[in-house]
Amino acid sequence: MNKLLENQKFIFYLKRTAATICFLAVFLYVFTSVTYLFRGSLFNTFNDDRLNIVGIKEEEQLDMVYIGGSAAYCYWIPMQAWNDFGFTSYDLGSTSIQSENILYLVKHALKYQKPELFVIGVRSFASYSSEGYEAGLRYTSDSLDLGWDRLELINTYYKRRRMHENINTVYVDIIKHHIKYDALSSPEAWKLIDNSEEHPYKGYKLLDTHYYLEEPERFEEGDKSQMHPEAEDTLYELLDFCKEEDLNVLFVVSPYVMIREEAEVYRTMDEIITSYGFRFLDLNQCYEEMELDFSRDFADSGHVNVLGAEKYTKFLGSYLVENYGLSDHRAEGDTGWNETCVWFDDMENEAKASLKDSIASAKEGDKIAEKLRGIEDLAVWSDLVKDSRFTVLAVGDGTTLAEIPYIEKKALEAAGIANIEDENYIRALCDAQILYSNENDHKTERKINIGAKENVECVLNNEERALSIMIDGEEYSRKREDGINVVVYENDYRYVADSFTIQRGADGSAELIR
Amino acid sequence: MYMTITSFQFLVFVTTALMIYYLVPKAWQWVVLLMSSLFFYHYAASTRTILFLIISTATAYGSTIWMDRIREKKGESAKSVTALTVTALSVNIILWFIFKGYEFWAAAIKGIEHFHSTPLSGLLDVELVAALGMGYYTLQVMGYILDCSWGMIKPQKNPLKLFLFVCFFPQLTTGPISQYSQLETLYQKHNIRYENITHGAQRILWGFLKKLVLAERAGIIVSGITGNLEHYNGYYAWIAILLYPIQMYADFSGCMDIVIGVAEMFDIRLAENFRNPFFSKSSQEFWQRWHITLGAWARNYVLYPLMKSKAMIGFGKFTKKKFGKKMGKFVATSVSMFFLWMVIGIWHGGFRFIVGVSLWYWIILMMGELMSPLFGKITTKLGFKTDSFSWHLFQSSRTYVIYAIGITFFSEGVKKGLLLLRTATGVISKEISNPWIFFDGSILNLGVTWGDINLIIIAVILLIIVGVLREKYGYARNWMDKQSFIFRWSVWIVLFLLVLIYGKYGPEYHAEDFIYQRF
Repeated sequence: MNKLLENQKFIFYLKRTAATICFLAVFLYVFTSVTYLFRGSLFNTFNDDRLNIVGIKEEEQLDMVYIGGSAAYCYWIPMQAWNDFGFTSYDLGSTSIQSENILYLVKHALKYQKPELFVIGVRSFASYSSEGYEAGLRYTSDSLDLGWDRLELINTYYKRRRMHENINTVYVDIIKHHIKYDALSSPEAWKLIDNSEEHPYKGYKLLDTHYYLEEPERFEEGDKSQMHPEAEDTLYELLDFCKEEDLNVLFVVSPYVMIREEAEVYRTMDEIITSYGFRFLDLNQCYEEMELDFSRDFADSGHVNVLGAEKYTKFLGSYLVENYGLSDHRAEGDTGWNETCVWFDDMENEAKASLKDSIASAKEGDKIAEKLRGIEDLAVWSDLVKDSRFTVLAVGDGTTLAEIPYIEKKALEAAGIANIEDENYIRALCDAQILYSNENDHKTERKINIGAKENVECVLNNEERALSIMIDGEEYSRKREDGINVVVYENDYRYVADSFTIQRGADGSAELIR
Repeated sequence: MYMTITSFQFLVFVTTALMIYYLVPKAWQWVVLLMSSLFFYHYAASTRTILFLIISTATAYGSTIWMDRIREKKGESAKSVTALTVTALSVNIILWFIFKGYEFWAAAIKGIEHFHSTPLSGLLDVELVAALGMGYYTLQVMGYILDCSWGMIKPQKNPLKLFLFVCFFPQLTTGPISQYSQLETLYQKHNIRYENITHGAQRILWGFLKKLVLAERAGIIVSGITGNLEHYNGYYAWIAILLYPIQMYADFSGCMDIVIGVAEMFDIRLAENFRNPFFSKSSQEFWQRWHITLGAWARNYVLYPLMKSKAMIGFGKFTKKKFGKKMGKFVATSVSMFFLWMVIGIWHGGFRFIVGVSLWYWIILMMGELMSPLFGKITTKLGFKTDSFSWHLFQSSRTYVIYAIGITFFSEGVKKGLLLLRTATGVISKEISNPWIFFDGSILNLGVTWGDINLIIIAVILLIIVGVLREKYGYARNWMDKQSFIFRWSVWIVLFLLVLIYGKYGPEYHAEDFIYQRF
């Protein structure tokens, strides 16, 4: 009897334990799925970063995985590498990548792939800052699967940067993201409910904008400088892991406008990396070989556009084939890559065409700028600067022009220089649209950003007749008190195209005085 | 790091404490609770203010042990026991009064002529930081001293165990106000039980839903309106008046659910503080269902002793002689009740609470008592079916509105409360009446969306369903436990998702402290 009771008791507890385990499993599944669903609206956009990190799960065998931040996924075009060399590759990375993230991206890649080679971009080690940057961590951690590696990354990052704030919201990221209800109505977010979805461009992010740059100094020779101690620890940790796992790794620095201090750190890194038997390649020393044209191939000072990426991929691809013997799979039948390449090529060609148009347009703007300097007629001048390629900056005493003929006032208005009868006149215009006017707030000093990327600082100052137009710290105003001082800035090539004063001449009409 | 009971840190802390609690030898479990309480206090309050808890415990411990010794030597009726009791109570009352009764004494000294030119004027500028849960543990300590003094319980010989009774962490935020005899279970040995863990977790989840989904959303609307009464008048005022009781209930009872749920996981049963107060048919019944432990404390330690006192018995005889048996009894009861309500109002620590709780309810209850025969006659004459659902609904609605008006003074103060009520009654004038706000979406200017309003409605419906189940089955979970596992699991997971997705928490949102945390 007792035995029977004991047996029944045992079965009861067994059932209850099984039920508890099942409930917890269902609970965890729901919790994980909801976490992934709400991640979709990470930073308010359904960003490529997340797709970039989860997309590698959906790939079949990859020959090479390129890990890094935007300096990796804007540079390496896997489809082109397939077309030109026949090996499969993937860009795995996230925006503003922090050096600590890289090791965990390698581990993430190894869960799903066994590539012959890892290429690791190491710019983040040179720009290491001990100040924590939560978003930089989150772009990676909020895309990884919930698990130990992710916890380890967060702990390492917080410990190394001596951060304390909000760690629980990084661990359990739904605490942060749960308020982004737009995820519930987004098909893209629902597709990512299992934290897995194919990346259409194998992680590559195409940049189709143009930013004019002069070829930067390369700092070919010079001193070495110490790495930031925490960055050095992070690098050693990464190298130890790669060594332990017997990985084939190439460490690279992609071309950009670097500064001397960074070049000096790269030399130190070169020494450390090569001491482990890995190769280090600073591609800032290979501009000619790459045929890189800084005036055309960059989207900003840190990233190449699609034209630059094409050259970069071609150069690095040849290097990889030559030095790492990556095999050509093109003859192995349909792997899906050919199809991807076809429609990527269409998109790439479209982007390149648009980019070339924009480069041509910038060149055209440059020619117009040249013309501007010789023009005396207000109407002609006004017609030419009414263009998105120029920013018109004006400070002065507009009351002195109150009596100029109506037709000249109209000509100025056409360029955006309207309502001039103000003694503290300040305007910033682009394509005749007002970027700033003190007409309403009556401020006498204003800082604005100008240029095609809005990254050039300009200060307009009319405080106590300062009549100043400072661009990037340099004064360009003619500083004449009896009129309006005007500076025309070329947005694409970022230079001052013209500077003059509009004054009232002896005959009462407006004159351009240079 | 500031730990609240709705924070992620708190959940981690409770989980860790639970694991240690059930892993250590059972004789040490109370020590784990004490350590956990100190840990919680360190992260939830200003650590140095724990000194006040220590002082309260020391007075309670010292006085009750001394009482015991006096009794042993001199017998039950020793007068020094009373003196000792009064002294120990006074220390606790004075401490409470300095820190929680600031409004009273500040107003009193401000009224002193030339006070600002005296050296004591600096008193008003001193920043006073009260201990966490001071209002609650002070009443507990006073109850303990009185129980010992009356010989109802034996004093606790271990000062650390008594300290645990004072600082037991779940009840530090908003009570409940426990009697010592109810919490002796703290020192007993506890086995881990499946029901305790699951029921406790379910109760915590329900509390989170009330606070983070309902109370916080209702609070946005209420504070949006009361913060800008010039702009939000007419029916807006009615929205604020009628929504605030829901916010208050969801906030306070939500906190109690979390607290009771946490304690239950440790196999400690705390007293219930709410029993469907909005189902009450009268205001008297309401106070038997609302903040039950405060009412019970006031009855046990103020009303009954007062009514049994020689002075009150004499006064009762006098009133019966003067006004007749019925009226005399009413007058005597009214005076006792007045003291009871004043104690409850004063405990809240401000004049507005005296108006919104004490005077308002004293008047309502006394009027109800006085007029009840008349109302009974009117109801019979008009032929109302008083055993019908509609009559019950009418009675509950009346009780709700009475509470809503009183709580207006409670939340907004007398002056602003009157303004709010005046604005609300203004809807009878065409100039102020604005019924279109219910339809034209202008309510969304208060910072909520239709989604938020729908969630408030859904949560209120859930409250009603759970309330009905509680009335019928004692606890809603008694009914839930009988359902199939698929249904039960679905309900808990849906509730969890409601909290997870729609709860107002996280770095982008600062959830308000619990309303009753300030007392």
